[in-house]
Amino acid sequence: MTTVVTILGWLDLLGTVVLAGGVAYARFVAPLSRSGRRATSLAALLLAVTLFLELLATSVRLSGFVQDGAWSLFSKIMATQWGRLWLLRCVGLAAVVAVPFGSRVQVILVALWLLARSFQGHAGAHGAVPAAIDWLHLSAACAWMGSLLQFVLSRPPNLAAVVERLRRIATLSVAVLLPAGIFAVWLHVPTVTDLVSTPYGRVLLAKIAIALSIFILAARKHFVHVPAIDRGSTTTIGSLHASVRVEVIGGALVLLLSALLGALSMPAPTVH
Amino acid sequence: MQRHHTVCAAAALLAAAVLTPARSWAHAFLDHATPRVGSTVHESPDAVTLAFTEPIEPDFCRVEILDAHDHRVDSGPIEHPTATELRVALPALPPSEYTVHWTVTSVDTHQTEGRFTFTFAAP
Repeated sequence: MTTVVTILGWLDLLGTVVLAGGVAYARFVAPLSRSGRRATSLAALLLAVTLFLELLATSVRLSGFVQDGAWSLFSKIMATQWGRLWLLRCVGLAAVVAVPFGSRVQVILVALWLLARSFQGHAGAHGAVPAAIDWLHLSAACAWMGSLLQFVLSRPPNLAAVVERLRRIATLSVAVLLPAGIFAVWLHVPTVTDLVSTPYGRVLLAKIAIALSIFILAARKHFVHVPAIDRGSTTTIGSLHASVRVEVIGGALVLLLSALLGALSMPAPTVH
Repeated sequence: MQRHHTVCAAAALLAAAVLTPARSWAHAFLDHATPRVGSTVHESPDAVTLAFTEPIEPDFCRVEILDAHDHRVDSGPIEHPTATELRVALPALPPSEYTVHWTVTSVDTHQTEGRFTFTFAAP
């Protein structure tokens, strides 16, 4: 079941990043290309299917507790915090795709919709403040990785301006992701030893290693590629695109490991 | 000025989170129990109370109490006095070692299970 939960969590995160990141790109960077629009439409479809499958998987996982039929199981799941937020996420997804793409209203709806996701998962089980921090973390990851994907899918004519706006989004995202990530490690892993002695800690270390590699690539882009393009250099454009593609692939791996972390059990506290 | 306010609000939120003293876990683990884990009591307890590290969904929890011969104790229905606690009433027990086996679902639907023992010894 861990595998199923991980795969569904990954699809959920991928769809969320592509859709929310596409909205951020359209609002703050540049209009989406045709491929970019297609990617966001596919992401919305993927999310709709994944949300349904997540309800199905949760029903199977919890079926052992309810003996009086499928309808009773469904009603009891819908009465849980997870069930109410699941419903809110479905309605929120419909609202996000119903409003004009890249509009201010859509940005607000996406922000609220991401908040529902943060409250539904691990962080929401901890309380309101961890959920709010998770929301910042998720929003920053969506804005950054989703924008990079849109950049890969487009060939903007005004490259220097687009790259400069992307740089601002990336800088702001890193400024949010780093402290929020450190907070998440502090919250979930009680001791440093747990980082190497538990499956959760080892997956977390792998995620941090990939994230740091992406940060290094992003820093190179920030300090080398973008200034060169600003100066009118055309030789660095190919290198910039290659770097962004690697960052997007790295981002997808980070999301996979995040989904696995969502399915794994954390190190347990001492019972007394 | 608006950017300054946004940065201040984000910093305040993060500081509030980091300075929150109690750390919690994303799966519900047993924090403490009454009777205490591994303890010996000299009066038959009228209930077993389990306190978890985070809120749980009572419809998706199970508590089973077995005596030393693995016979199930006929306990009452599961009560949910607070968001993080479960309580099951017990009949008058004969002296024995008892095992409490619990399975709970946290509010993010993740399940955990565990067991512990306590002993009721006649005074």
